[in-house]
Amino acid sequence: MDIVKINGLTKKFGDFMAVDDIDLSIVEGEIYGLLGPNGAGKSTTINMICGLITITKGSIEILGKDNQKNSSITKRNIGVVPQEIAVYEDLTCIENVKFFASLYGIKGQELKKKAQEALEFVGLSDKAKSYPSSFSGGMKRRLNIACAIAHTPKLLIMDEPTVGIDPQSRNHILESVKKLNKLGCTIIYTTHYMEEVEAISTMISIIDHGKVIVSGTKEELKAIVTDKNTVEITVGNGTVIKEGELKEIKGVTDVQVNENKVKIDSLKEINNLDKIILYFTDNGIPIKNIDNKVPDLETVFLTLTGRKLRD
Amino acid sequence: MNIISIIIKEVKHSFRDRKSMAMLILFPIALIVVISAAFKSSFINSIDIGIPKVLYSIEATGVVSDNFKTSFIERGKDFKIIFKKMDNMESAKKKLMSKEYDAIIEMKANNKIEFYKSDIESIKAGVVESILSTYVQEFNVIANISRVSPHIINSLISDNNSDYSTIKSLNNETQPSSLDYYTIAEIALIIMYAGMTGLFGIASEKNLRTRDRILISPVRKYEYLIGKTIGGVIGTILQIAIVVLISKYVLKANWGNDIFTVLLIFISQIVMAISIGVGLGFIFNNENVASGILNFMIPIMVFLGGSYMPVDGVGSKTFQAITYLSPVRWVNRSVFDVIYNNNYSKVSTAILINLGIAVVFLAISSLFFRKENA
Repeated sequence: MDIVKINGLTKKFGDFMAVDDIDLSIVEGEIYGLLGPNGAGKSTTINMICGLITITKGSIEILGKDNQKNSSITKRNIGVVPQEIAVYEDLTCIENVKFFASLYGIKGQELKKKAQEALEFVGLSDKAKSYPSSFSGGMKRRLNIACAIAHTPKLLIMDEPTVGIDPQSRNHILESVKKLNKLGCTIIYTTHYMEEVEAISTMISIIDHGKVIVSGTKEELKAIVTDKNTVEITVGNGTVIKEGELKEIKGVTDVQVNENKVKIDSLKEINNLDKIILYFTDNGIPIKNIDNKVPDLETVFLTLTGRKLRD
Repeated sequence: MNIISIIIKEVKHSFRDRKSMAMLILFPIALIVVISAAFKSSFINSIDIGIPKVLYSIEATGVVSDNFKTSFIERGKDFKIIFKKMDNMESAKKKLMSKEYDAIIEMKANNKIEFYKSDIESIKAGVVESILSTYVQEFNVIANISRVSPHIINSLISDNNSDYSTIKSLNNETQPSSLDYYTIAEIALIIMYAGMTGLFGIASEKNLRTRDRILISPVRKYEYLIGKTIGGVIGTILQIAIVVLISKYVLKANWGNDIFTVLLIFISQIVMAISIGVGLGFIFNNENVASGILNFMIPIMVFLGGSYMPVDGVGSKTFQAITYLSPVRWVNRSVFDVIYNNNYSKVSTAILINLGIAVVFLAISSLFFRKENA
């Protein structure tokens, strides 16, 4: 079942086309990665999904309901982790979480319980009565997430939630995303860090200049940009490589030798890595390193747009 | 429910923001104490000159001299003057020179009154002289009337208790001291600065992006606007209440017999101030421009309102008319009228002006808010 269905979504700010005729379907239970450079239109799309800005054209359905006509119903099912740390420094952790959860109609003991659960989930339960002003960037980011999940939304939108934090906190957040997803929460995750999308997303759309360039699983996206497998083998200095013999291995299309590195291209559909390794061992050539050159999403983006993600 | 959540949050902000606490509680108390002490002398309404002592002699006889004796000399107690009959002029003049007495009044045989005063004790003598002058003028009025209607002369002269003209002085006890004045005036001043609370409440939520977070939830824009405004108003009322309590019970300022009405006027002013701040927060995207405008507007309004110094009767008629363009003027005037004159005539006008301005600014806020992100 589609939890979000977007048809012909368009947003213009004056003459500037921020989002241009986007179609997206997000199935319940997915971690949907929206990948694109800064200014690609990711946040504008997110803001329209959560009803923060009006749409110029098109429609957005959340759980089968138009979010423009039924905004109060659809909003109850959405949680948003904004790009900026949007918490009050003069309210304690628990007060922050309780305040934002109370806006979703939760009150009394249930409010207290849900706020405590949210803090526990992000690992801040021991800081419940502390003020965020004393927190590190990573802790503030975690509180930012707690404020978005206390009302247990069915759809959680995370807009670049790891900007400017240390690797440890980033890993914690990525693990939290996976955990939330396992608990049944559908997640839309926007970022310009392709490693994050690769690590957690089950489906990915790449956005640029307000348009969806391509959508699919990460394997599908990578398949779009390459029809070959490349292996780079490092050998000892002065080793003689007979390129012709390597080319005779089934599936090998090209061999390039550069000092002590041998780059071998093979047809994607043929798995010949064992035979390539056998060539080196049979000829008494010690292998120092094998690097399987798999295309990443950066390569996909570069191939499709001619630009790097972080240009 | 959403509105209540926002109101509670706003009140928490008010009491946890040290700047706001200092601005709305400590600053006005310090201001009241310092300014009232500095301008204390400007508010003293009377000076004790002591009791003038006067020697007199009456040589004349007849109706005029009798009237002078009964209506002036014998009523010395009423004027707080001690009259003593003198034996002879030479000894009387010596007593005047030696400052034993302050003045000499001599009614000659032809009913002519001579007045002698000491140059040294000129204030006491001056008081006696002006009372004597008033008596003479009053007598001359009666004499002129008698020329036109001689038949009423006896009734006029014998009527000692009649007040043909009255001098009504303001009772010292019902006039504000400098502390009383500046307690009211500075609270009115500081309430205007509460407009900053309204402005920063809107601007900081925008800057922190917490406003987006609130609006992403099922909170409607009007709930947000009302919650922010009422929250700011309640927070400010509680802060000002502390100032009122301290001024009343610690500083012993006079709040009159009807503090409820006075507070009602101030509450309406708080609603106005917060609404102006909220309005400017929506009108201007740049917080600095909005606070600059408030910082320009407020000193003018409070100056015209009399919060720096009393403006009653100051300057030309045009200036007086201009002062009433400031809502603070209406607040101060109506509050002082309630406390000191038991006069409620300006209360409803002051409250209506405050609430009217609040409605205008909230309507503007609503308009700008609705257009945002459209």
